[in-house]
Amino acid sequence: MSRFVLLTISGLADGAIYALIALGFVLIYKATGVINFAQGDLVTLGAYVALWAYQDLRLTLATSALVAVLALACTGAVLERVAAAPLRGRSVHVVVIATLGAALVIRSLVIRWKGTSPQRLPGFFGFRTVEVLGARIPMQNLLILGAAALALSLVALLLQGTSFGRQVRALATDRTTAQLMGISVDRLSMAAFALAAALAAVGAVLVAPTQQLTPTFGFGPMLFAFAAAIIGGFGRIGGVALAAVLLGVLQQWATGYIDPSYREIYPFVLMLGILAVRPKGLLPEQVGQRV
Amino acid sequence: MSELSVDPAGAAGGQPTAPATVGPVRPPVYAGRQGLGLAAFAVALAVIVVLADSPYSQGLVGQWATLAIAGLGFYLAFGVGGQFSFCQAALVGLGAYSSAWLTQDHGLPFALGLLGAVAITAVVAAGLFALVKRCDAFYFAIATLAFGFLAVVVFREWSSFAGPGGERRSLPGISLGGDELSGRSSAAAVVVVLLLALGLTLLVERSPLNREAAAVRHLPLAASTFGIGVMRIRATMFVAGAAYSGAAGSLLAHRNRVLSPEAFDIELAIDIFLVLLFGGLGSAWGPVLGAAFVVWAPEQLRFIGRDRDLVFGGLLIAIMIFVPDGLVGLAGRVQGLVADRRRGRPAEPAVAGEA
Amino acid sequence: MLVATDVRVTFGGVVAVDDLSIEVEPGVVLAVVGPNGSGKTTLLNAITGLVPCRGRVTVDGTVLATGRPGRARQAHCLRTFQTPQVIDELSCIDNVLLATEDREATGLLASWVTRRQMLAREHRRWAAAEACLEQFGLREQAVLPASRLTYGQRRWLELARVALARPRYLLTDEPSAGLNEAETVRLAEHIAAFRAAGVGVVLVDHKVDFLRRVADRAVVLALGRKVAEDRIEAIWDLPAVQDAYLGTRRVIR
Repeated sequence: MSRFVLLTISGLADGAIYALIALGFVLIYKATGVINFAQGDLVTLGAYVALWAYQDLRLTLATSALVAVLALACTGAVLERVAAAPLRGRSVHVVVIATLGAALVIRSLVIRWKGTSPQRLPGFFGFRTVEVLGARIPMQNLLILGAAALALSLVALLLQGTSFGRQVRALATDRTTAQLMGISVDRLSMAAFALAAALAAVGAVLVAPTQQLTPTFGFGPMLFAFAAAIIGGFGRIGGVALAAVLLGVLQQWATGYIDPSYREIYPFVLMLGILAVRPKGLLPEQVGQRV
Repeated sequence: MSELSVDPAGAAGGQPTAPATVGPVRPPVYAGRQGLGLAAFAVALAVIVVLADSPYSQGLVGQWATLAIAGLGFYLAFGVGGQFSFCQAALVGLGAYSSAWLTQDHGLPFALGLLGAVAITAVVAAGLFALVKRCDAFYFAIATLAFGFLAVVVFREWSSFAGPGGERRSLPGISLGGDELSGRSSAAAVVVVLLLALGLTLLVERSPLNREAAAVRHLPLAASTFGIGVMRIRATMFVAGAAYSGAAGSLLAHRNRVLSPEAFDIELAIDIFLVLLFGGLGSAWGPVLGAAFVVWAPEQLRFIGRDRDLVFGGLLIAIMIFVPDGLVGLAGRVQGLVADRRRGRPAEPAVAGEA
Repeated sequence: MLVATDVRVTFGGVVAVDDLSIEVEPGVVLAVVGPNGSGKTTLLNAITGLVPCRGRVTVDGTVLATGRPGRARQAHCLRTFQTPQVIDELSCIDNVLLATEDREATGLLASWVTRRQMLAREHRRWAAAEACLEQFGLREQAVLPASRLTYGQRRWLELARVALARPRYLLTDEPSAGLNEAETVRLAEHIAAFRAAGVGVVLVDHKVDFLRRVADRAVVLALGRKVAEDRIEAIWDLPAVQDAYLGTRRVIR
């Protein structure tokens, strides 16, 4: 039983991270119609910035996290200016290629900066565990769950309750009309990228302590987040978050009960299986709702 | 139809276009002098191989030819078949490991290893396609990206197939009739396979498949109303492209003689992608040129060194911004692939119409 | 006879075609008229299997599986589109050859292995396609890329392609759109030629004179429903049609 609890909570924590990353590129997608393939490398960058602030600037972990979030927000805006804005109005895949190029650039800059040998970002609670239902759960996992839930709720609030959110939803529903109504696509696009990058940083500082930090560390979680987004239906934040969490849990169960060495492929096997029967994902965007 | 009177000047109702010299015209499949071009190219390659004296230059030739074959595979899948896929690198890896497994673990000669690699890769690709064939272009791309990632993990973990941790060493080299080829002959062997692959691709371009594939790329819905088997053509091109990748992988394995899973991750996929980006999507000669650039440029521009990714990444961005449809026509082609996803309407506005 | 019974097409919450039934006999031209948004194009899409629909479509007695464009083609039901579906990078004759009935030796095996057989068939297909191009005055442009054609010529190219397919039924969507007066007259002749050859034509269009010249019967659609059906001469006098075309005078207080 304790094994089950451990696996489930680990899965929930994983899923929470995927949800945060997925949230980032779903936000960008809703606001700009673009898929940001650099999201994973933004996560990597976020972790490294936090590490630098902690190790080199000798800031506290909390402050380092904040530094990472702010730095990434700026990076996101820059990324938008360089790779997305000049390609505004071009076909979606052109921007995909450009963001892929940006991912490469970010990754190689990280390698240049900090090298390729694995590092470790300490967690807020070190390796302390707490007992839950008979299992010893790393407190970091609980932090992840709490922080992710908070972040998700904040973003949901943002989208529903603020002017920014309304404008994003308007753009997502009908871009042309929204523009005609005076919504500034430029500003919104930058804001969306900045926010997505900030979320990437949050995810990074939460999950980095649980594994080794290498320059490719963010790429895998991004792919899982993609899988979650595809399964959950790309336009709906709630659906994507739910799918991400489920994916995380199923992945941990499979790792624990089937074969740990294939841990990384379970979400994709599931995704491919789902796509085979439902090529538009489990919860496809409705035709009427043009996202 | 007897009521129609043929009026060459005004029948079209518009300005007459420049009259072509009509007469006994040959069907499109005869058009072009590709045979001569291929022969000339073969001669040029023979000269290059003869001139390649050092292991370094032989290595370069082999590298270029292998990448060109993989590029041709991507050209078939994407340039002809219209499917933007990210799994080419993984398929090259599958070919490499299959060939290694067949030769090193089962003692088969290189030729059978090569054929086996082609067959295994084609079958796996067919299976993958069957899973995701109904997906739209974007999900298809992500699914193949995921497959690529998945494959590298499998190479790392499935030791009975790929070796411990995916590491294989001391692989046999390319051999012909029991004799292992080395240096120049080995490079020549790869070049021969390239010529074969190029020739086959040119044959596809000179066949009814060419026009049907063009229809599938540009107007898939209308094409289905003409009776063209859209899914069949996409599947054929995807699997054929995979077969090419498998061959490239086998050649790679037996030239490098070592294998590790990281060689087949996203970076190789981007390399293959760059091959098509630089070389152009327009014809089978594109990958040949593009591979030359991707292999040659880092060598010439040594100062790039470990910043290769940086430069190529920046190049990707710059090309997308400044050379929109020009250099490659990629953007225009890709645009045709993706339906107006944000609006959920079908790709061909003529079909959606005004309800 | 092409019979569509109780065809129903919904997109999300919108009913585009609402239990519509039409039928057309060989050698008859049935016009389909109605305001924008009345479901005309969707009806054609439904019959040729491009959108899923409920209802029944039979061609000469055989039931046509809905939602499958290839089946319509097999039943010799061909369609043209509002914008001529022409591939610019291909030659005109290649464009026409796309709809050939003879699909033997067109695959990978034929390109690589049985090439001689493929070439022999290509010669035959080529000859048939050339004849179709001739019919529509495009023979001289046969090997030119279709990008060189004028808009009107692209329409003829589309029709030449249809002709190669030897249709029994032709569903054509606003073929006169974008054509000038001379071209529209020409179009009427082409459609009349199809009719004379025994093809049943479903013709969606707006131009009144053109329809008068070429159609036998007409149905009027509004909001996805059939509101009138009559001989082409009589249809214009119906109040429903006048409403749609001319608008009724209403006094706003």
